[in-house]
Amino acid sequence: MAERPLSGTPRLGIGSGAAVALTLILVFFHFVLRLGLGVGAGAPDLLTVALLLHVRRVRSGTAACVGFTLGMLEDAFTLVAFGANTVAMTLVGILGVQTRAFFVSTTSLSFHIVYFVAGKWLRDFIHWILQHAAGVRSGFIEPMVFAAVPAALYAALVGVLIVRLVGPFSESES
Amino acid sequence: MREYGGASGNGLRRQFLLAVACLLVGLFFYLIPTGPQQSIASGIRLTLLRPFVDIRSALTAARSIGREADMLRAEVDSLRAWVANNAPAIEENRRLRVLIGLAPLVERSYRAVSVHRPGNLGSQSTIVLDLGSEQGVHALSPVITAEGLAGRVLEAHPSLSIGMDWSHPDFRASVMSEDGELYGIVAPEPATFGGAERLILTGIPYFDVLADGTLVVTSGRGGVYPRGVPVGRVGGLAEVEEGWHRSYWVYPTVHPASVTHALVGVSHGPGPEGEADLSSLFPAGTSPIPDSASEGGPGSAPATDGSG
Repeated sequence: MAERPLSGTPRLGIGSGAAVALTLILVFFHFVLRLGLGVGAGAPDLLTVALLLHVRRVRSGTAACVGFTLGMLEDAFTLVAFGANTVAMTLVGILGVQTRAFFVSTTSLSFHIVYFVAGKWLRDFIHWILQHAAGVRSGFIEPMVFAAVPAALYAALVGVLIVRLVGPFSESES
Repeated sequence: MREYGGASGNGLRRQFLLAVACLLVGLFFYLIPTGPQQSIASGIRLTLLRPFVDIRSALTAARSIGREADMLRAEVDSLRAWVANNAPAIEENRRLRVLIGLAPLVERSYRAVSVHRPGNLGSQSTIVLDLGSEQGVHALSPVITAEGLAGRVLEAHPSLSIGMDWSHPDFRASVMSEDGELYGIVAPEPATFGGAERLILTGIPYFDVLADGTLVVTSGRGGVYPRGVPVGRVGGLAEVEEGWHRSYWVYPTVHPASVTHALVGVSHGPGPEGEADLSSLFPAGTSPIPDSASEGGPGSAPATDGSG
């Protein structure tokens, strides 16, 4: 934890173009796995992983736009509580940007695990709240503990692997 | 995209306003009525996400050819035997109808369809069918499997339809006991902790009792689901309103996640006011419209209140 200002040119783990390309690839594979191949929950939530990775190198407005766009894509097949994914991913995008102000140690494994787990779980939690508000009755324990926690760990595993493979998306410690 | 550098006061304010705008637009989409919401969703489904749906359709078709040929052959053989055994009864029915002056039975119209589930967060009740309005599928077309009722179509696009299964919170169907004695309405109930999703059957008179295991089938009332399609089996008393009515749990015969192929009701053309005429799905004598009201003949569109 530190209070390092965000101004100045960062030393990025990967280039901007590569970051955008990787985000698009993750989004593509998300829909190939879930929609094209019908893997469902057996596939990691690559959309959230892509969002959490991407917002590490953009500012809040851009992060909100990215979250909004990805959320709209996810909402396209939602018959109940349309917009819940959009709001959830926009909020997670905005909050993801704020982590840069508090966590500087962006190459550490523990940071990335906590970052992805918390981000994915928070996204599911906001979605659950909005679905509940829209009249979809479901308990809390089953969707938010027995389903969302493993999903968050799964997303974290994939996210950490990607970071290890391509390097951090934001400022490096070196 | 070097977003870090040069963050002036104006830039930060612009970013903040952009973030707030995105959030507000997202909330706006969440709060607007279902009609406009689904128009937006349809636009995305039919453009950006359409290639992924096509991939799924192609894969399902390929899988069907490879793996399910033996199963389909067995089913065709069974059906052939069933048709052969029932041919005398059908012929007898036809002659009796002529004798008492009834119109011939209207043929039910269905098309085989592949059913996909998107698998995205929040799309648990959504089904995607690979047939659309070009093949006669319309909103409210029932989706039926060999085991029973799976759901219905919500919107039909030219070559693709979006529907909901029975687990959708808005699903309702008018049902009856298999012997046709008791009528009620089924609606989905969310799963309790560790339990399965099920339906609740309401509107059973207090002094009538349904035994566990009784098969519940669609009644044909409401004009959405044809009569006699299995919905589920009674699995215990849910609640009793003293002296008034009883409600029962119904365990559906169709598990939505396992549905990959189904039959979808098709009509022969758009009816009045652009609505689908699904009357051909209903055998004669089960029309929800009284004879006096159906002077337009069998082609008149049945009332569609959405509950089935």
